[in-house]
Amino acid sequence: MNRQPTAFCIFLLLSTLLAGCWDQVQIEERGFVVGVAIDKPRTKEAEQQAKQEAPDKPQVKERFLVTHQFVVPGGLVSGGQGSGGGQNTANEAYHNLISEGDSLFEISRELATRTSRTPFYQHMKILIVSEDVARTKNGFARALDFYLRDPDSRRSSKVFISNGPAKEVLEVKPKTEKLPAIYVNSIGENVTKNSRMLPEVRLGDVHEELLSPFSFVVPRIRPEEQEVKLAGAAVFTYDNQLMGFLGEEETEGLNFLTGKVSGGMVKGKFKNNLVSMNIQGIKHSIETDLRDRQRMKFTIIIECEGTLAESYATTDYLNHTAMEKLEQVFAEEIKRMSNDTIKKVHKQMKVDVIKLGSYLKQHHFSLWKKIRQDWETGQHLYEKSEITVQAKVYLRNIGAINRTERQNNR
Amino acid sequence: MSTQTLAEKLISKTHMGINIASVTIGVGILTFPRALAKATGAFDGWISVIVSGLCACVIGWLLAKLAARFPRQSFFEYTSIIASKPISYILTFLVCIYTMLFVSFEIRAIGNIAKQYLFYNTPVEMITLSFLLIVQYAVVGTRVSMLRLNLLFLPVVLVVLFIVLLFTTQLLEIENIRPYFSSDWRSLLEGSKEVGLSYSGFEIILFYTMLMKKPQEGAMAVTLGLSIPILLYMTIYMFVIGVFSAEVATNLTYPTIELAKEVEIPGGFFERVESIFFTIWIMTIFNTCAMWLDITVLNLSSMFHKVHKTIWVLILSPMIYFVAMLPQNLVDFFTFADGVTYFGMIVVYLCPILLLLIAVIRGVKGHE
Repeated sequence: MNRQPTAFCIFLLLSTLLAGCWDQVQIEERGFVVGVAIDKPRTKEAEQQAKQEAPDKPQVKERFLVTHQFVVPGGLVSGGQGSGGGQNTANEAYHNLISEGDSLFEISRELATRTSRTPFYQHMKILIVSEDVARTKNGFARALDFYLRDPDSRRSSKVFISNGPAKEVLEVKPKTEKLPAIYVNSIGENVTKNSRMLPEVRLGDVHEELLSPFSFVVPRIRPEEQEVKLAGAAVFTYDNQLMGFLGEEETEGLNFLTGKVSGGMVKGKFKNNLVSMNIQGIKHSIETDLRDRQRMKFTIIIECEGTLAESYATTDYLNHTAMEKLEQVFAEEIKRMSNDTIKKVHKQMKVDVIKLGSYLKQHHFSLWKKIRQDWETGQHLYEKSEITVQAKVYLRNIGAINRTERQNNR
Repeated sequence: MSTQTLAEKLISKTHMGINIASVTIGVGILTFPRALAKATGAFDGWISVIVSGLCACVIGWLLAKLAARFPRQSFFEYTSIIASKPISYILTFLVCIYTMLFVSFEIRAIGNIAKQYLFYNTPVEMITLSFLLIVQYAVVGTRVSMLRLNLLFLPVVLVVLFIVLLFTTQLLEIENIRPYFSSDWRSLLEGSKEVGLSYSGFEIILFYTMLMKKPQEGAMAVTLGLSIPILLYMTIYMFVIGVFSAEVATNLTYPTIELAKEVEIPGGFFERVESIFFTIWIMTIFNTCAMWLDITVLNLSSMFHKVHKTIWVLILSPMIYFVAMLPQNLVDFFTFADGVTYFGMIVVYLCPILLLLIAVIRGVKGHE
């Protein structure tokens, strides 16, 4: 007869014991990190202090200075009367916290002593590593290990190498966006407008490159007062050390050589007047002559499609000869840019960022198996190879007008 | 109208196939691309997936033939007909240990992975325990209705996996896939061995054939049931390599989870697909676990008729839980998983095939 009360008691007991959650974190308690910048510390102050506090602690060589950019949700609301903003008089939508240490995890946890909202990396959009961290041996891989290993962070964060202190990138005050990190992230999406920036490189891509035996490039970012400039490329050797930078035009040439152009423009000189083309598509193929291993010959064929965007020359373009001439002008320019890049990366830097090794691996695997030790290292077959470029331009359209002013207007 | 109750209903060939697919898709789906990429080092691993899938089909076909010789008879019964009672006791008992260990392995996997990706502060013990309690609940009920859950869950699982894969297509890179056919036979065979571990599960045909309407269709059911995981594994492997490249896949603990994490559907609400992925994955593990526990109970009941099913579940659960808590870390856990599978190879593949051989030679057959 007392079965029902017993069942009821068990029910009550279970509902109190089983309900609840160990991992409950209110959204107000999460510190959403949108951007992280990793630098080398400028001064030895913090290091000395740490040494005094714990003199017996094992010493490490590398120390990092990490800037976390947190979102302040109150500041995102326009008008500024948002809730949860605390004493946010400046009404900024972000909050940068800088901390120093030898382990990135330590730094991340150190922030817990200083902010009410603990770092939460799932929405991290950008990760900036400064030049001097990337230049140290294994520095780049060490700086990224924590973010790759943490099950919380995502492999889709964009990675940049800053020319100069990385934290300055997160300190710019853009007029158009509330969050510097989102601002940089959006610039990264403009690759379809300009071929002088590299296509975005995600954290996952970097992991792939770090594990692969090839040299690689990462977009370069340069902070200024109110804005950043995202152009150029940081060049890493096969052993994942930063070697140097490619300038804007060299990066453009590299994009042509690897076929990674998705939009942009080319200038040229037509009858001593400036003309420019809007690039609308590119096709890229490689022809090889591998008979002599010591002198492998690569021909990179770039086929580019576009429309005339600007012309200072007052020629009648609506005929075949003029069009063909124009196409030739642009093709010459593409060829020049590509050759300049080849000169730099092949002859000076001697890094295979044109990914010819990767091409051999993909298309001539049996050969690649034999020479993989001798490509960039060993016998240096990459350096000994010969690279030529052929460019072909297809001009599809001359725009809305033929001429701006009368011909022979003198 | 049919006067049969649900509990008495027998299952069809297709249903059996879906049971086999559900039991096979389990923990292996998360880890096999790593092992396979490590072994083959290239895109060619898909060949290994097929090779070892076909091996599984052949073994499954043999097992189905054995079970179909003795319609409406349990594993214990037909084993004792073929090879005397004492041997049958020993073998059935070993099978029980194997299936029990399998449950331990699955619930521990849930604990590990949920802890790593979902509950950072909840103890593994607690996650595992609550999952085991739900599995118990499923098994104590009627057998056929538990098997019906497979029919309900598998389509959802496949649809969600399809969506995840669909959204990763934009991340596929052709240079990760090339070169094709670059691995040698040795590494492909090594790879086949690695994937083989992820196919274990189809041996349920040995025990569930007695529930089938037409036991002769068991062999077809195995082929049908295995074709789903074969296709699924092959697609997942191709996508994992296409998105990550073989080098990265080798270095990811759970490549398939990372693949789901890569998906970002713009627009905020569904941006993070991995939460849905985890949900459906836990559903598949639930099915797998429930079936293994049910088979353990089924075999024990066939040996000892007097003990009620609920009692068996209550006796087994603490043991399962205890074993599940034995591995101390991830490496221990993977070693444990391999150990269970190798043990299974002897107990549920090799021994039954030997039994079939004896049955064929001696001409023993069951009677309807």
